[in-house]
Amino acid sequence: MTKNSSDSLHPIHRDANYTLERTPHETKRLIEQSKIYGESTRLLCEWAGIHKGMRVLDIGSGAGDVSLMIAEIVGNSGHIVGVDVNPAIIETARQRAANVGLKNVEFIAGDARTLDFEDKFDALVGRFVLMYMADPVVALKKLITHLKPDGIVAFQEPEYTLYPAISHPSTPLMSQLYDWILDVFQHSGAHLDMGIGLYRAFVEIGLPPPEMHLHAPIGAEGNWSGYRYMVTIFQSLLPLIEKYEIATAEEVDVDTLAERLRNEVFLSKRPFFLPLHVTAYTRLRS
Amino acid sequence: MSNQSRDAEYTMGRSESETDRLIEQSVLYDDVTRRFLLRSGIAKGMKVLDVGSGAGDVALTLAEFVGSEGTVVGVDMNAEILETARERAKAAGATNIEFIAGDTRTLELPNDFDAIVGRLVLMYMSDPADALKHLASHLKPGGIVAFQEVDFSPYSVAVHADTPLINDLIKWGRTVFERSGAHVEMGMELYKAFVDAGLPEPSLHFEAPMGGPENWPGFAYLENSFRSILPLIEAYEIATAKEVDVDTLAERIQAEVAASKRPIMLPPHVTGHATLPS
Repeated sequence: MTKNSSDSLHPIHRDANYTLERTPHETKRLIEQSKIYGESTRLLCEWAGIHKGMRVLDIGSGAGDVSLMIAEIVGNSGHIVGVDVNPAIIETARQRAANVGLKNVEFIAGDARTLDFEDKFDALVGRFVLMYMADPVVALKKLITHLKPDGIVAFQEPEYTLYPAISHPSTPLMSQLYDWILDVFQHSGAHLDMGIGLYRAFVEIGLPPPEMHLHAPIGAEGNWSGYRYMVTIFQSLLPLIEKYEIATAEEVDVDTLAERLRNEVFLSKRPFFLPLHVTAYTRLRS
Repeated sequence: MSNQSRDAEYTMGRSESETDRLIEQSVLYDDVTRRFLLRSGIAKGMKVLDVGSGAGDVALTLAEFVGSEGTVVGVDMNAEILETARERAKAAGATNIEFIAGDTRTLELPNDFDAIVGRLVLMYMSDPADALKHLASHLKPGGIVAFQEVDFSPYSVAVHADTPLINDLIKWGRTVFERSGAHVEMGMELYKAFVDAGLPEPSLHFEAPMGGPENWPGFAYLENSFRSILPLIEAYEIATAKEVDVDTLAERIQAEVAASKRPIMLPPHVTGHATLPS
C-alpha cells in the first residue's frame, strides 16, 4: 500500500468510480458523515478565513452539507455555489437548502473542471472530492482559476495510508474492515493518500505550502454514533466490494456490524477509528 | 500500556529551553486544548485541579474558562518550573490560580474538585490507570475527568524514502521516550486507562497539526523539542549531538518538507473526557 513519491498522486487516465455508489442510501450516509466530520470542516473554514459576505465555490457538494454550513458563515451578504457531477443529489441539496429557507446558496449539476463562472470567488472549498479525480493536480490548477487574487483554497480529504499504524492484534475486525476499505477504494481508482497528498497538490500548482491538520473521529462508548456511521459506509461500499470480489455480503454482514464493532472495542479496550482525514488551507499569492 | 515499576524520567529534561518549548507547544496545541475543555464541560465557577501544570499554560487557559468565581489548583513535581508558572499567572492578572509543588498522587488535596485536567502527563506515570483512580477520588459526584495525551503510533508508517531526516527524527524521538519509560501510545491507551480506573467510558478525539507554511511555528517547535531531549538521546547513546545538529534542525526539516513535498506531522494528541455519575 505504501507508495513512493514518484507515484504518489500519480495521474490516473480516468476519474475513480464513485466508490460509494449513487443511491438514496448513499445520500443518507453523506448526511450522517457530515454530523461526524462537520466539526473539522467548520474549523477548516474558520482557520482558512472564510467569513461573512464571501462568495464561495464548493466542489463536489453532494447532499449539500458543506454548502449549507458555509451559507451560514457567509450570511445573506455572501453567496455559495455548490457543484456536483451527480444531478440527482443536486436535487436533494436544493431541497435541503429550501427546507431551511436559505437563499444565498445555489447548486449546479456539472463538472467544476469544465464549468465557467461569470464572477470570481473569494474561496474554493471541497470535502472528500479530489481523491476521486483522475489528476487532482491538474484539477486543482483549473479550479483555482475561478478565484480572485488572494483567494482562499481549503480542502479536506481522507488519508488511508496511515491505517497500518493503528491496526492491532486485539482488533481483528477493525483491521479487516480497513483492508476491505483500502481494497475497494484502490480498485475504484481513488487516491488513498489524498490527505497528505494535498501538500504536494498545492505546491505543484504554485500555491504557498498549506497549513494542515490530521483529524480522526475516534470513539468507544456504547452510544457513540461512529459505529452506526461505519455501518452506513459499508452499506454504500458493499455493491463494489461484491463486484470486485473483495468480500461477500455474508462476510461483511452489515446487519450485525455495529454490534460486533462495539463488542471488539469493549473487549480490546482500544478505541475505534473512523477514516482519518486531513484539512489543508492556503491563499493564492497576490 | 505496560505498567512500570517507576515513573518515566521526564524525557524532555528540566532546562530553561524546555520551559520555552512548553510555551511554544501551547501555541500549536492550545486550540486543541480549548476545544477539548469546552467539550468536556469545563465552565464558569468550577474548581479545577490541573495535573502536571509545567509552565502553567493549561492552568492559565482553565483560569479563563472558570472565571473569577472559579479556582484552579495546578500541581507539578518540578518546583522550579512552578516559579515560571506563578510569574506568568501574575503577568496575566489571573488571581484564581494556585500552584503547588508535589506529586498529585500523594499530596493532601481537597476532595471537592469539579474537574481534573491534565495534558501530556499520564504518559510519564508508571501506572496511568492507578493514577486516574486515585485522582478521581478528589472529585465531587458528577465531576469531570479530562486528559490530553500524545500518541506516536501514526509515525510507524510515516517513514518515507524521500525524508531521511524526518525518518531519523521519528526513530530517535520514539526510542528516547520509550527508553525513558514514557508511554508513547498513551493517546490510544486513554480509553483503557479510564475503564481500568473504574471511570465511565471517555469520549475521545484525535488530532495532529501538520505543515507547513514558511512561517509555521511547528518547525521551531520540533527543533526545541529535540533540544530538550538531546541530553537523554546522548545519554542513551541513541545518536550524537553532531548527528542531531540541533541548531540547524528547524531549517533542515523545512527544507526537507519543501523538497519532498511531504508535510511533517507533529505528535498527534488524543483527548478523552468522562463525567462521573452524580
